[in-house]
Amino acid sequence: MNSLRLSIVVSAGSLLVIFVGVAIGVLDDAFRKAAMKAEEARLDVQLISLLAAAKPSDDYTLTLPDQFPEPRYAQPLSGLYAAVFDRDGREVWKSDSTIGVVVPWVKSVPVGQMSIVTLAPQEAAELLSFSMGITWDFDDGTTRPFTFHVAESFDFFNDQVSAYRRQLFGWFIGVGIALLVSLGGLLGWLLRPLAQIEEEIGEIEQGERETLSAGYPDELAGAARNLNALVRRERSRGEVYRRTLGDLAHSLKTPLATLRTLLRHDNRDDIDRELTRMDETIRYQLAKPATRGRLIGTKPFDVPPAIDALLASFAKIYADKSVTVQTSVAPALRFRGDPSDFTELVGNVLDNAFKRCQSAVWLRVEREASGAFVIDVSDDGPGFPEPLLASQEIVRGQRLDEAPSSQGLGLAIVAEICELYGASLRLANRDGGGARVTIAVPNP
Amino acid sequence: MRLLIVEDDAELRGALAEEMRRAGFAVELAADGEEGLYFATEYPIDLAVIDLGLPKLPGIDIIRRLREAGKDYPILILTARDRWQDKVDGLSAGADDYVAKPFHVEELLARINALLRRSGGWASAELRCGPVMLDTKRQLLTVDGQEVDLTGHEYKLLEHLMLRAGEVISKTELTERLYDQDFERDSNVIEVFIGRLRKKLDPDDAIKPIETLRGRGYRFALERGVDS
Repeated sequence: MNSLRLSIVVSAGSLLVIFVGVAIGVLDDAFRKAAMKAEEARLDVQLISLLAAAKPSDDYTLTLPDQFPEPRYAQPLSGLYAAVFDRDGREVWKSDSTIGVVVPWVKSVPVGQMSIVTLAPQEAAELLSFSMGITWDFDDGTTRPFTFHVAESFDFFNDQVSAYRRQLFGWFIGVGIALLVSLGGLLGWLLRPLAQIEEEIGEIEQGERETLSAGYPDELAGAARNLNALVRRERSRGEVYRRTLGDLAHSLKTPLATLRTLLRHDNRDDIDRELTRMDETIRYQLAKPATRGRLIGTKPFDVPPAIDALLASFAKIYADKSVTVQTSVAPALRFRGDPSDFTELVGNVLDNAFKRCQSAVWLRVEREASGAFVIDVSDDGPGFPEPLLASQEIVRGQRLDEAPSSQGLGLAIVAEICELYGASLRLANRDGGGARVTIAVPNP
Repeated sequence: MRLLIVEDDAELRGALAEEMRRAGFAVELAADGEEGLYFATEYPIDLAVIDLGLPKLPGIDIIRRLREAGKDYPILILTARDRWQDKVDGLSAGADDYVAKPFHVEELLARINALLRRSGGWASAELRCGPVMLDTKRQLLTVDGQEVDLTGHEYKLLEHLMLRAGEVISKTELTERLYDQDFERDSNVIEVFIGRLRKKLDPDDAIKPIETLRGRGYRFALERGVDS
């Protein structure tokens, strides 16, 4: 099930069915009990009125009138039946309604007791029967026991219960459907921002829109912001690729032209110079698109192992130059960014330092109190020329015909990476002589 | 010295082989990673030049497997990927140095020679044993400060002996490592060269630089360092 709305409605619907089922069960049971009580009360009244209607006769038996206020006694198979039996279980009287029905009365009930039973005559529906054993005091002081019986068909009770049930089900189903429909509508309204995001992403894909609009609810604002950042990054990435390819093509063609001209003469040094120029152009131009930058969700990585691997590599590369490296790397230091970008950054700065130094290189990597991540590399070489220190202008972003010189290539690549990370790059000369490069990466 | 070159580009592989042979190396060639690993494991190799981007088995895996198998000869990476991460990965896997494409042959040769020298325990390019000094950078021999002329084969033989000065090196090994398979594999050739070297290094038979150990091979017998 892929629709959020459908799954919410279906799960709410399932809960509703369970809830309504339990409620109907409880209400139905309560109603049945109440109806049964009412039925019993009614039969009790009938029994009392039957007692009140009985008259003693001379032969120590009882007579009951032909007419009762309750017309159903007179109507055959009406569902309301009554009968009176004497001590020996002989029938003293029975209502006219019993004509055609053999009611299996409980013949005698001990005096002073009441019996409530369900009877099942063959000819009619089930009956609820009330019987009471009494002693009648005749005028001459003689007493005789009698049993009075009243029974009523369950039909009435059943009708009542099923009418109630019909109503109950009707209401619950109606209310349930109304609830689900309004829930569906409400969800549609609440999930509108999602539909909007989907629509806007479609528009971005179609190129009809630059970014997602503002004003999403708090729960979605973060996602919208991240999506926008992603879209912008993709776009600027594409821009970098396009510009790089353009610059690369442009700037490789000049040395190619030179090479072709040089081919006419056997001028190896000139050809080699042009090849070097092309090689460096490729390195410089491709450095930027190869940099990954700080992606959304980039995990921080441990810096000390990365520095160790770099220094171990430099020990091999510069094995013939005895260089003492003094490092100060804060333990457990982490950097939020791409590890290979970091290696490229530090690798280029260190490579310059190893190349230029006489015998010593200093490396400090730490997080400053301001939160900035600082990489500080110095050497005991000749240092930077004054004009470069004054301008701090490392050739960057220029085309190949103005490509950086060989020593400057590493620094130019460093400058490109710094730009992508929003880092500052400062060139200085060390107090005791030698170059010093300080990079500060803001790390929010 | 026998080099293994593992490079998938036929043009570059051929050109490198020619240059290395011209520089006096015996050369084995492999065109892909699996072949490279096989040669590197089975052949008597002094140094391997391995391209990182190889078909069948990446160069970095060859290096890792060779080091795991206990092969400790120097390995030089050739790579067209010049991000530092690629170099660090290769060097961490067990390579000893790298040369980025495109390179100058001189640069490659210098790095190969430096690696061979260091693997022989020499810190500097000048190998000194008593009065004998071999400048491996300029390929120059001096005895007591006097320059001595050597042919290419003589130089390679002396370099091999001096790089591992103090060690016994068998005649078979010298033949294998110094000459290509197409070369006449006759151990007499070695004897002839050794004889010539002795004459050139020690015309008066005074310092006895090269020792013959019967049935075992040869040893450069002069102590490393300058005689006091």
